[in-house]
Amino acid sequence: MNAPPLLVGLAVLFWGWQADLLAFAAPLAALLEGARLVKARWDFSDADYGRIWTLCVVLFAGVAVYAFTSNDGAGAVGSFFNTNNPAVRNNAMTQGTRAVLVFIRWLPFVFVPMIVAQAYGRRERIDLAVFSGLVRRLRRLRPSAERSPGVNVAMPFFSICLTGAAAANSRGPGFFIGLSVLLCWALWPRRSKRYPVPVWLGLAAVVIAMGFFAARGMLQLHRVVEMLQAEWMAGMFNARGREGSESVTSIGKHGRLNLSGRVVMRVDPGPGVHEPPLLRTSSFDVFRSPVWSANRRTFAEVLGGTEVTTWTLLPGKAPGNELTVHVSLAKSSDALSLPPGTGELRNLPVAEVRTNRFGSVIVVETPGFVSYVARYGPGATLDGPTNESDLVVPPAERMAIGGIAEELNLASFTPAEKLKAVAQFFARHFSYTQNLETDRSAPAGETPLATFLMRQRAGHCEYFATATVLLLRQAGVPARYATGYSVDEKDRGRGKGYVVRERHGHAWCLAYVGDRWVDFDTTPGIWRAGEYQRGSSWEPVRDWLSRMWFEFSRWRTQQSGIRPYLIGMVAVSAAIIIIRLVQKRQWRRAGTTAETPGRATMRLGEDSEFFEIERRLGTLGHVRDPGETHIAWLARLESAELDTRGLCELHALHSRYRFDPAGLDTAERAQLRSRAAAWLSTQSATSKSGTSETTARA
Amino acid sequence: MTNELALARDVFHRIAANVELVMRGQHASVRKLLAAFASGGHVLLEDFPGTGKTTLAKAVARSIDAQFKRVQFTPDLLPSDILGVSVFNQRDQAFHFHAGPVFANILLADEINRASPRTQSALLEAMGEGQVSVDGERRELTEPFFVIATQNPVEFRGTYPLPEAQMDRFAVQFTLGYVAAAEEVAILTAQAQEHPLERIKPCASLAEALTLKHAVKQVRVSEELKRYMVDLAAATRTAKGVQLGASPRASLALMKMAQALALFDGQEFAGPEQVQEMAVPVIAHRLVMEPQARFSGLTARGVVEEILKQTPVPA
Repeated sequence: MNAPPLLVGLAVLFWGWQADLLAFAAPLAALLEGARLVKARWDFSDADYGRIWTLCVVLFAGVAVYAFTSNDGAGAVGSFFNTNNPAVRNNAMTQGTRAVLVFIRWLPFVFVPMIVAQAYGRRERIDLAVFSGLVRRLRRLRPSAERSPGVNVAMPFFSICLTGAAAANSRGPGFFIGLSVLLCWALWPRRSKRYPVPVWLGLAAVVIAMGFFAARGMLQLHRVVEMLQAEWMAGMFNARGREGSESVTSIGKHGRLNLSGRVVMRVDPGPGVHEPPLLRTSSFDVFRSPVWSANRRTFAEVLGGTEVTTWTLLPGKAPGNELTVHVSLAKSSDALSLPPGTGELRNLPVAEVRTNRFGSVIVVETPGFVSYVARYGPGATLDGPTNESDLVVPPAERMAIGGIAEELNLASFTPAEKLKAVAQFFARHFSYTQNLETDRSAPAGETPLATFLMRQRAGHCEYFATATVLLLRQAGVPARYATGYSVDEKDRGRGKGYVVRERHGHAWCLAYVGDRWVDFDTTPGIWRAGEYQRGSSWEPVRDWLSRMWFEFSRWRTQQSGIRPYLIGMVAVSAAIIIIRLVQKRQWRRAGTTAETPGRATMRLGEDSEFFEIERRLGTLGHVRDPGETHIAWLARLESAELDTRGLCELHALHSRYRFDPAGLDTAERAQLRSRAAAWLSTQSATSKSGTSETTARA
Repeated sequence: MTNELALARDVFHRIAANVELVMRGQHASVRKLLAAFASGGHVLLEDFPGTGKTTLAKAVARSIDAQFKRVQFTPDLLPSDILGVSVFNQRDQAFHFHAGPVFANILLADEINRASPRTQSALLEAMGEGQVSVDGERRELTEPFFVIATQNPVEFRGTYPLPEAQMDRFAVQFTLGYVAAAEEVAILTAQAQEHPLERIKPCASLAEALTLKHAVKQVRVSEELKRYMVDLAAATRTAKGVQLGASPRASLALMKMAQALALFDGQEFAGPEQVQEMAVPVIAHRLVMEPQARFSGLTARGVVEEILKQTPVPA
């Protein structure tokens, strides 16, 4: 199927319009349609087409890399397989889909060399063996097998353009209208000429309307399915909110805690920071065993600082310390892990930063991998003022907590002394373990926390943090439960900074002492060593892979994108192919060469007026079949009782004009012209009465 | 129309009128046969017995004042029976060549598919190159050399189908078919007293026949039409159900036949009508159909007719 004029050019323009690539598409469309005006043709061999196809494949790879890197698609795909967290998985899937969409959007660009080569090449069709190694192999095995005539790449390119335009997803009415117009134009030359044009147009309109309503229906179906899926996901996994509305602790569970050694982030302390502090993700004030949750958790938006990438969280604070955090964030929104008293965030290219009174910082529309600088120092924090919920001890825990508080005689101390006493209490009598045995001596109805405080006196950070918070509250010190990460494993791979793994996740207590919130960690320091020893045997390999990805991501962000490099690579390979192509070929003027000239040049007498007559008769329903000669056609008309007087003589002239290489002399040419004109004028004069006659007969 | 072409056309029509005295209602067949003669091609007539194959061949042969020989092909016919044989003469102790019937201007090979393929192939060189090699010696045949072969349909008993190489040597193959009832009555009337073939007198000399052949070559063919003929032949090579498509010899024959027909029609150039008229008789017999397609009722003739319909004709 050959493309009708302007179709491919219009499709390219349409794609450019929809995909916002008009600057690229407009010259391309001009180039493609210009081939109809330019007579010069390039003489490509099969090998040349093969090279052009290779070029297309190189471009394909380039665009694929571009699409996946620009959207962190590869990282998303990696994390899809790397995690069990359904939320992360879901997110990875959306990112992967987005990368594929970007890729399809650029797809027409990939095949530009092929379509240009066909437009400016001598061949109308390109051999299948150019595209497929399988065909080439089959040819070698069975040289005698019949060959297909090849493919005209115009129509496939047309469909790729439409697909690319669809992937751009511009959501305007322009897409549907443009698509309908283009498809109608593509089908226009293929319509049956036996039916009048209005019938065809009417049918096309009906089909377009059906398509429109079907698309609307699909959209609604999509929405329904999407909602069902969301419900299903929620019911299936009981997904935890990413923004830290609550924290489900393992308090009350027995057996060993299994935490992964996956690297979550890397931290580079700034100058003067010797021991990095705990990085807090969020804090909570309400304990309902075993869940800590945040009460009245409303977020406030932080306006951007002097630059778009600098965000001032605490105006007026001049923090003295710096910490650089390298982390992969979820695209839509994610919570940051920050040192206490963070006043300013730098180098954070996100759309929005939100904070709440629990010190959580949420960033929206992240670029994926970020390396932000957190400036922090002692003093003010993001945490809001205390309220009554910071002093509540759940009734179930009151007995045990109250007992300990009385034993320590906390009520008589100043707040600072209370903290000291609690810290001493835990340091003296408690030990750290991740492997909790079931205590059979515990009476029924005793809460796990009470068991921890009264009998076992061993547990992990969540026990220590929860117990500390409640003890302080009992003693009248406002306290909250904080979660985040402890930074203490040196990054041996890089030789500097720290690496933070999933199992470095930590919980501690926030205490309100001296008009400010301070970190108060009572978990025995031994847990760090214990955590460190428990890496699995293949962790080094995973660390190495993680570091490679980290280095790649960081390099990419620092270099303001990998695109220039990739485009450079693609350009170099493309240049090599083009040079190889040009070296041996030269432009040849069609018609001046002695070799088989193009079909267009050997058609004589194309301007014969007899064609006008044929067209006129065609509009009256007397269409000539493509395989029917004029004489056979005229004979058929005559047998259909049509007046063909004079046409036979006229055809004799036309026939000589068309098929006699000697052609007509000027007088005969003029005769053909005048007689055809005369026939046409008499025909149109009698057509009115004639048509009614014909219809009456029909 | 130039003088030479007009003259040749006149010769053409004279012979046709003469032949049609005998072959009633077979105008199209006579046209094709004479076109083949004028363009230097050979003719294979295939039809049921009694449809006038031999009569047509004889009528043409007699209309031209040329040397005419006839060979009745039988299963025991040998190549030497056609080409000739060298006989040792005791008297002068030397071999003398006795020319066979192939050394004639018009050769009627009657029931060619009754002979063994070996004998059939004896005609290959003669038909292809206008020469024969006997005893390692090349002998030229006289101009014009025109073979009219007749054969019964291949499905008949006691026949050997012609090998495809031999088939390809025939420029055209066509059937005469049964004539209309009125014509058949006329045939009966005409033959009541004597066979009209007996009354046929030569109406064209050998020299005139040669002018005719020369004139055909002057008929012009446009590039576009050549391309059309090549497209037709090429289409048979990829057509469904065809094992072996038409050779370039087929498109060449098609062009020559179209030229001859154009001359017959009084044109100085060949047109698409002539090409379409000759496409089936020139191409169909060269196609080898796949057995599967044959059993499903697909014929070579049908394939070519379909191709004619599908290929856009230059108009």
